Parts: sequence; structure tokens; C-alpha cells
Amino acid sequence: MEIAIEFLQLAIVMFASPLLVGLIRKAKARLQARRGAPVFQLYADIRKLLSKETVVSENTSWLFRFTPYLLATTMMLSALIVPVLSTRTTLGFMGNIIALIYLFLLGTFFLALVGLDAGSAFGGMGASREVAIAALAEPTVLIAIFGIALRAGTTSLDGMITRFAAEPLLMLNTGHLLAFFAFFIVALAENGRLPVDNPTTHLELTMIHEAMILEYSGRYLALVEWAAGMKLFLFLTLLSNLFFPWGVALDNTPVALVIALVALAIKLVVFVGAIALLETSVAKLRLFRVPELLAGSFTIALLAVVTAFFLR
Amino acid sequence: MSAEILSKLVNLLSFVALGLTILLILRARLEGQVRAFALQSFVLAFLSVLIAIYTDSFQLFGVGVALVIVKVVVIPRVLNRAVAKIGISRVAAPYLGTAPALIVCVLLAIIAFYVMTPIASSNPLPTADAMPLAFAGVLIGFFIMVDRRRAVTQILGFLMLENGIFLLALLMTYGVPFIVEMGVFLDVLVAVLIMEVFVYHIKDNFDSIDVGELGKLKE
Repeated sequence: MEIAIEFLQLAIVMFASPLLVGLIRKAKARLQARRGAPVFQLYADIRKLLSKETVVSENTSWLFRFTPYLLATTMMLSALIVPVLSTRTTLGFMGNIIALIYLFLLGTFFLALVGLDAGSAFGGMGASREVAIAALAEPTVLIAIFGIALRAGTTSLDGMITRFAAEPLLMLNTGHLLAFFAFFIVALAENGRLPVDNPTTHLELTMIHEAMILEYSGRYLALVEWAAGMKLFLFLTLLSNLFFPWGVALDNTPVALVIALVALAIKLVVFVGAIALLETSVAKLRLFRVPELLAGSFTIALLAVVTAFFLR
Repeated sequence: MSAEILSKLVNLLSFVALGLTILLILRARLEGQVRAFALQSFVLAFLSVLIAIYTDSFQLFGVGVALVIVKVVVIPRVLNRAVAKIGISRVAAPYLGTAPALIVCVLLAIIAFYVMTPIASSNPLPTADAMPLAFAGVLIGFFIMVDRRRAVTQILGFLMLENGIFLLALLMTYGVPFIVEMGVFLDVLVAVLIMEVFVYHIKDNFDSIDVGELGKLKE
């Protein structure tokens, strides 16, 4: 039973993540009074890319061919750890949030290496920017996590959700909300969303994530795009289930699982709306102002830890 | 409304107020900074009305209304007028860069927590938990005053400092009597008006409102 749920969670993350990306694009398009591509566009894109020829530069090493598989694998592994529906799963015992963050960062690290690998100017530029942002974002992620882990008394994802699910007035808890905002800003930065990176353009001066994957084509590109979608899905699931754990199944009855699925869908739709609204209303920050934004989120995270110490 | 919910709401709103103080550092444009101050004053007014409802205090309600009139409507308008007249809308010109200033703010907040937590825990009121936040607001307001070169942004630091003191009094004792609060509001209003005149004079004499110029000897 628990193994079945584990695979169900994996399947949800694998097959629903392109839909999530499509929904964000659609919502953004509607807010900007465009009709927008259909929500299932990314599935079609991936299928198209899978049937296309893959062109690999002669100058690249094994890293170039290895990284797309690594990205997809780390994301699928993370999908087994993150409590998408239920807190009681077989691999739950290794669901340590610090391990999870470093799984995400492993993908970032290899993607930055690949940006350098092909030796193109854009790749190197994208890699250096990505590393600069990751270096600023990582301490914030960890400190925000400590902020909530201190309150929960554990760094296990399942333990934290179980602990917070017992608190109905979570929304009014300041340390929790501060950690949420810090984590949210960092999630935007890590997933290459506005105001840090624009996911929709290949404008040479501003792109970060797109610059690193510029050399990819065919099935490698499909894997990279899909992994990016899964990463966004996992980050948003983590945000919604960790900070607003209402509805997450605490035991494995079918009813609880259905409720968890519906609750997750609702929470994700809210996040989709929030991100679409945010990306429509703010402009991309100048690259030199990104550290200020991340310093701001670092401040918020640090305050969350301070309050976790002093305010109960 | 139970004491527990009140305590949490007060905590939350005090945090919003503190966050708006910190936003003053992140905002580059003066209009945005003035808006942050107006918003913070509105949060404080909301907070005092909330506590007024909890304690059935008509006086505190009056304080909230007066707060809206003086600090949400009148003072921002005066400041915006000054900004428009001097015409330096985008320069805050701090001595420290944004990131170091934010780190200083966190350090000040930690000091505030360290100093005020024992005092707050000896206070029996349900609002006392948020006292360290109000004190942090006072310290950060001070810091903004010291950190800024332009006279107008120093005024904003002063106003944030004053808001912090008001919040501290509100949380510690459910606010001081209405008449005292009125006196303080009028003082602040007059202070802002005088400072505005000062700013104009500095501007006339030095062609800039950089207070660093005041330290230089003139022929």
C-alpha cells in the first residue's frame, strides 16, 4: 500500500508538472489579455522534441550527455521524498529537507557545468549568473528551513508536516509566515521565474536558465525542460504542504488521499494565480539589483529564525 | 475575540509594521518610501482599533482615528509636497549599501529581542509578546536617520522611530491617555512642518539637501 502511494506521488509529479507549467503560462496570458497556448502545450512540445534528432557539439564532453538524465533522475528521486499527498510513505524516513535541498542543488551544479562545457559565450554567461544567484539563494533556503525546523523540532519533512497540521491557527504565526515569504522569493529565484529570470524569453542580455541550456536539442532538451517543470512542481508542492499543511493525508486511507489530492490541486491553483499575477505586475530586476532582493529575503529568513528562538 | 487570537494578530501586525520599516531601506524612490510610512501608520491605526475593540476603550478608538488623519493623510501629503518642490525623487543616498544595511537591521532586531524579551515576559497583557518588534522598529528608525544623507529621508527615519515608540506604548500599556497622544501627534506634525522649512533652507543655501554639506566650512 505504502509503495503504491509512493508510485502514485511519483506519477503525479511526473505527469502533472507540464500541466502546471502550462497553467501558469495560460493564466499569465489571460491576465495580459492574450489568448495564450493551450494548457497541454508542454506535453506536445516534449513529444515533438523526443522524436527530433539530437545535435551534440563535438567540443562537449560526457557531461553534456549525462546531465539531462541526472536532472530528471534527481527530480524523480525528490518526488519520492517530498510528501505530495501523504506523510506516511516508505521512503519517508529519508525525507530530510536538507538532503532534499542539496538534491535540487546537485542539478543546478551540473547544469552550470554544462553551460561551460560547450564553450559558447552565452553558456558561460548563464552559468556564472546562475552560480552567483544560487550562492546567494542557498543560505536563505537553509536559514528559512531552520526557522521552521526549530519550531517543529525536526528537519524531517513528514515530521514537520505532522507537527504543523496540529496547529489550526498557522496563518497567524509570524515566524512561519516570514519563513514562507523568504522561501517563496528563493523558490522564484531557483526556478528562474520573474523578477530574477524571465522564463519566456531568449533575450541575450538577461537570460540565465535559458542561456545554460541553449546548446541542447532533441530529447536532451525535452528532458531538461521536463526536469525544470518537475522542479517547479516540487517547489510549489513543498511550499504549499510545508507551510499550509491542511488536507495532507496523515494516514493512508483512500478518503484521506482523495482529500489530499483535491487540497493539493486547490493550493497549487492558488500558487499558479499568485505567480501569474506577480509575473504580470513586476518587471525583471536588473541583474545588479537581484542581490538586493535576495538580501531582503535573507533578512526575512533570519528574522524568522530569531522569532523562532524568542517568540513561542 | 479571545486573548490568544488577539496576541497572534497583534504579533502579525507588528511584524507587518516592522517589515514596512525595513522596506524603507529597500525602496529607492522617495514616493515609495512615503507610501511605506503611510501604510505603516495605517497598520498601527488598525492595531489600535483592534485593541480598542478588545478592551472596549473608546479613547483608544479615538487615537486610531486621529492617527489616520495625522499620519496617513496629512504628513504624507506634506512630505510629498516637499519632495515635489525639491525635485529629487529617486535619491535616498544612504551611507551603507542595501545589503549591509539589511544585515545591520537584522542585528538591531536581534538586539531588540535580546533586550526586550525579559521585559515582555514580565508584562501580563496579551499584547506584550510583540514588544521586541516595536523596539526593533525604534532602533531601525534610528539607524535609518543616521544612515541617510538626504534631509527628507532623515525625516522619514524620524517618523518611523516615532511610530515605533507609539507601538511600544500601545503594546505595553494599551496606549497612553488620549490627551497625551494628541499632544504627541501635534508635536510630530509641527516637527515635520518645521523640518520641511529647514529642508527648504538647506536646499536654498547649498543647492542640495545633502546634510554632509552642513559640515563644510564656507567663506
